[in-house]
Amino acid sequence: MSRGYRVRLPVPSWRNMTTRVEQRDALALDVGMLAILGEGEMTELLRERLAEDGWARAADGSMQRQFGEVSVELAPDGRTVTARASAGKEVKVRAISEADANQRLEKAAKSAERELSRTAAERLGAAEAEIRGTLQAALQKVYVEALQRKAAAMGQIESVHEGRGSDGELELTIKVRVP
Amino acid sequence: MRVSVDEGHALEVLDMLCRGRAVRIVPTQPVIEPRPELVELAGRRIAASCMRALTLAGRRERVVLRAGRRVRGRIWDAVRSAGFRLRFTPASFELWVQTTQRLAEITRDREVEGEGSTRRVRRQIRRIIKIAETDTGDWLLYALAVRHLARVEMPPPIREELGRRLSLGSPLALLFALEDRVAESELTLVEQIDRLLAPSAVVLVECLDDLLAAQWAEQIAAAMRGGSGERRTERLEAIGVVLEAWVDRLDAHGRLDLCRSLGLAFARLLAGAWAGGPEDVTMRLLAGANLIQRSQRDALLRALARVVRVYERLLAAHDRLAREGFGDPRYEEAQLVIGLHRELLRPQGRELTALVNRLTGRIG
Repeated sequence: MSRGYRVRLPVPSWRNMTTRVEQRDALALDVGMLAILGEGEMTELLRERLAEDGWARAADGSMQRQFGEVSVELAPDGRTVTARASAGKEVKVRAISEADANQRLEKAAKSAERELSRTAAERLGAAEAEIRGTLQAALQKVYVEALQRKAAAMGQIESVHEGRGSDGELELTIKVRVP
Repeated sequence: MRVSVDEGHALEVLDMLCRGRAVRIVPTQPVIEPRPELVELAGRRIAASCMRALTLAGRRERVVLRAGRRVRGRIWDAVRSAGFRLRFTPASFELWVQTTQRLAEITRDREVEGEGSTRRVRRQIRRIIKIAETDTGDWLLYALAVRHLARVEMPPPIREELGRRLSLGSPLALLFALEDRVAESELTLVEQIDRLLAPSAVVLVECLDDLLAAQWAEQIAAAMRGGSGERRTERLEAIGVVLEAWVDRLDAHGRLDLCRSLGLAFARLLAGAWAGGPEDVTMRLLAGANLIQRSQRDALLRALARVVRVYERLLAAHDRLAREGFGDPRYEEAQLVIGLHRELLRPQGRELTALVNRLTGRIG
């Protein structure tokens, strides 16, 4: 023998909630230039070389450039380079009550924050080598220029020879006739 | 003299504070009011321990500065110790008696839980350590206590609180603990250090530089590996602040010859926590710190760089002093600093500079 039952389930009124989560991260590198010329002159030379590499100069003397998703800035005093990356995403949750939705949203946002922190850190890590390489190359040009200016101040430059040492390092030989 | 079990426990607590020996006796009722014979015995032990700490290095003949002139002698020679006296106040007695009563209680809990519990422990510690009107003897005892309490098993927040409180009562303990939080004290960090460099107290530092070096190396190594990343950053920043202030005040007092302890500490670290090159140091520092963000990791690396950069501060002071000519006001001090630099600091220069470059990501 069987009996039929009618069961009524209430139709839930779903609540959708969305929030945007964004995480920022930064990496600072010290610029320690050799004091071949005065600090101001060395910094200006660095700015000029970076401008040739496509860095944009701001009114306060800082320089900026984008390396993929990472923005890089040379501080106005030229002593620090800061790379910044960010990562963001929309977090969506659905629940049947507002309290529940808020709770879920908070939990999901925290989880997303951790994930986005990792993403931003990875972006910085991926760009770091390129940023360092670019700056190092610019600094090498700065040193060559600074040495030539220094030599010119000492006397008449007779010859300049650029070559590579056995370890691949740049070698610069400047012959100066001192009056 | 015969002592009861509880009196034996009290003497063991004293030995722990003065010499770092373990407390093994479990008291039935910790001593509250020690009888006069026990007080006398404790007094003799404190005096002997403090004298031993001072004479361990002080017995060696050494050149120090007095009124800007070099003098040679041992700690007991009048030429070196004129004006110095090791004087104890009731604060030392209180430290012993109160620690005897409360040590078991404050170290019992494996963890300090909750705000209420922390407040209770702070109240207890405030009763143990008096900070007002202490004198040179108390300063030395407090400093030894900072060093030796580090070996007693207790929750880190309690150990830190004890160190902080001892630092408030003793400028020497402040140097031992490398503690920069002196907000409760009427004196700033600079004023505390100045008390220690006054002619009536500077003998303490002159005689304890080996011990200070060992303590600093241990403190820095512990700060590099203990706790969360944020805690490591905070602790290393505090250490950097104290060491920078120390070098600046030595410079202001014309006693940069006392930087020997820093040179010795760096040498110990390069053979220990900073051994194996910059990459290894960085990996050790970040291991277990649980820092995901590069900015947090960067902050931790820079906090350690701040400590290592104290070397650069010393180097700059040396370069400045090296220009002092015969007859100039700091000529005699300069000669001692040049000697220290040649023997101790210069050999470390390359490694320390490489470490700073790695920690700050330096390009150039």
